[in-house]
Amino acid sequence: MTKHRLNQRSQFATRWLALATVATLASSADALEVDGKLLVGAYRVPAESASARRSYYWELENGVKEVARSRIDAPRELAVVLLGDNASENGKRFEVEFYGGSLLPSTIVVRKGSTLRINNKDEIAHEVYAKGLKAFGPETISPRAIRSIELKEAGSWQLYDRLVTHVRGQLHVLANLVAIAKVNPDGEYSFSDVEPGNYTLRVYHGAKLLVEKPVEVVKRDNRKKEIAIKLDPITLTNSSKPE
Amino acid sequence: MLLLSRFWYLFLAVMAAAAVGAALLGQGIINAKSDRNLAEQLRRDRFELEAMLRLESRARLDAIAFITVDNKIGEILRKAVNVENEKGLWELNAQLKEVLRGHITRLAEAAPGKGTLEEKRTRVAPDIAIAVDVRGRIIAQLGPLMANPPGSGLGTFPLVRRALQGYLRDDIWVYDRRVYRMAARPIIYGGQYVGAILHGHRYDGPFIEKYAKNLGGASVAFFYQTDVLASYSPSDPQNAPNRQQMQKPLSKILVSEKFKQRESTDPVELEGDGLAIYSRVVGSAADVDVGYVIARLKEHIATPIELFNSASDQDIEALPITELVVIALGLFGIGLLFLFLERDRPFGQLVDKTNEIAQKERDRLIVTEWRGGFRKLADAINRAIDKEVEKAAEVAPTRKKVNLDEILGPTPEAGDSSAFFGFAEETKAPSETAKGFMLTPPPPSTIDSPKAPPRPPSKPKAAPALPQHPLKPLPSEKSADFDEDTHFKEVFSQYLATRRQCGESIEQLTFDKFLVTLRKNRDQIISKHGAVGVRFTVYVKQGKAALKAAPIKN
Repeated sequence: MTKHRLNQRSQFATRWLALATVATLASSADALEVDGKLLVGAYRVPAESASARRSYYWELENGVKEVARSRIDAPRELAVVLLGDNASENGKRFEVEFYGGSLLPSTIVVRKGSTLRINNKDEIAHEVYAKGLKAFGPETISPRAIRSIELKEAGSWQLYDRLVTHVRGQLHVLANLVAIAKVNPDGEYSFSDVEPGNYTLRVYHGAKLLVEKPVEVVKRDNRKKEIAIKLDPITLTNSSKPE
Repeated sequence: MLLLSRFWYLFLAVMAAAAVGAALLGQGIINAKSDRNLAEQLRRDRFELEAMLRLESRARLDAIAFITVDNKIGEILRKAVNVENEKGLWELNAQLKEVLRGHITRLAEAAPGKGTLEEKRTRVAPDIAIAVDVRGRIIAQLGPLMANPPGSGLGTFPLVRRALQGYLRDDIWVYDRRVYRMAARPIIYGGQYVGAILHGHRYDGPFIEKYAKNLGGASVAFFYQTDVLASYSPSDPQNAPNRQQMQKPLSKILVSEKFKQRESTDPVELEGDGLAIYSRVVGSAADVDVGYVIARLKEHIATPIELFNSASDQDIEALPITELVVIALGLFGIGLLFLFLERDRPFGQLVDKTNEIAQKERDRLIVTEWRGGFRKLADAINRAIDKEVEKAAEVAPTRKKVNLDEILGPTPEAGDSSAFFGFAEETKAPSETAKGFMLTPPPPSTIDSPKAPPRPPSKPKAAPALPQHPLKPLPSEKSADFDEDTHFKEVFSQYLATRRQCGESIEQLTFDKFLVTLRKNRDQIISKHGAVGVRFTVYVKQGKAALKAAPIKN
């Protein structure tokens, strides 16, 4: 594993650590950590639609070294969430960033009634908006500025940026969202502070729901405060359909 | 009536109107065709411009090739991958900026064309240059944002993402609200991709001028939404579409269906008689309405005269001059023929016949020999002749009186109400009749008019004028249906017979002369007495043949 990938991991770990800490403090003594892995090797990033205009005159291989294969940027593009009846009121604020010229993550899943905060860490301004969602209209976010949006309506909307046109995202606002996993570049994900019970695990890639499966989180040892539960690996393919 | 000539004039008028109509029609057709050609020309211009832009982007990609094999850049970028702290990044930033500046100097040195190094630097130096590490972080940049701290990411930009994968690629960016023509290449160091180098140039006047000039007479502008980034309008033709004219329709163009569908628009009418097509650029910036417009001035023919003026020497040479001259001469000849047949020939005949009257070869014109206006003219001439004769008779009484006296004997005074006049007094009877005959009043008994006034007593002189020989009434005098021509002929034949009897010569006596004399006297008597006609009687006076005239009152 290259160093920069490790750095990316540590960056995400740091980010989610803060959320986990908050969740842990608020959670009950029975809260569990749930881990899993998405096998993304076979999953190809969907090609741009044929109608999309070619945005260059030339795209040539360099002729010196073989070009690298396109692969999915899992932390940015995939969202793994648990849905259940016992959705808590915790974590009503969800934070995303503009980094590297686009949203991080670009597949955003938030609970209905929560607040979405977008922190622009790019050196250029963005003007992101959700197509069809009035509460999330276009508004300039200057470099190092934050924009907050209250999401009271459940649904799914595509995100666009008026200033940086390659930006694409998907916003899912769900009423029964229990937890959001952190995903690393290798597809490993983990939920923290999950109460025992029956849930539905969903994996989103943009607007596409790749996986939907029931998950039972069972407390096996009453003596331990937190017990890590390993879910079976999930193989993502381009034909993946919700189970 | 000049029917043929009039028809010919009508034909020529219709032909002239048709020619003018054809010219106007031709003008419209040529203008419409010119518009179609211009629209086609604009489409060709667009393809040419696209080809030039494509080559230009390739040239930019090639121009930065030498930078990508610079080990210094590769080394710095490889170091940057593991640097997370700001201080470390700033150090690398400073080093890398120096290297980039050096490369730009080398780029200027290698640039073709004349000029100083500084001029070349101005020409070829990028407006923005960015070096990113393999994570897509900006390690160093030159340009408007060069003061920004390093570490910001560009990794999700398709251009950067693909360059980091190892592709050479171009694009058009709107970055920090500025539009750049970008070119990117990967940096390979130690057999690994360690980053990428990006160069960007803005749209400026020299760039557009360079490519627009190649289109020959076209105006070109690049725009970002409703703002024109740069434009070029040629000096030839004059009044070529300018920046404002190309900019004005942009607000409508941006919402037009074809432009939204990322197609080039149909030709759009510009102010100032220009035609333009609008199209998006090839690149990411197309999504935010960055595009270009190509415009040309319409070449319309304002009037049919311009149509002829615009004919080239070749066009004129291609004309069938001989055939046209023959046709023109033929039409002219037909016109002359009609004119001759309907005007010149009958006019000549009229002149000839009138001359014959002047030469006393004939008395009057036969009006049925002409038609239309000439017939009227002949009739008028006839009437004029008659009037002149009458006038001559009236205004020259002395001479006529002398003549009458010589021929017919003394004429009664104007106030004489006697029905008998022109009686030659026996004492004044000419010894020699110039015309060969005399006219004397008939005896009252011979006048076939119940209203004939009695001879006034105040005219005792009239008594000696009574004929010495009793008159024989002419057969026609008894006729109720009085035929003057027949009467004159009978009178003439009686007169000839009487003269022969009297031993007088009849050699110079013709019916025509006799007739003129009779008519003169007839007209005088009619006008003086208000008669409806006059009857003449032949008698012998003093051994000579003479004529008597009696007015017919009813």
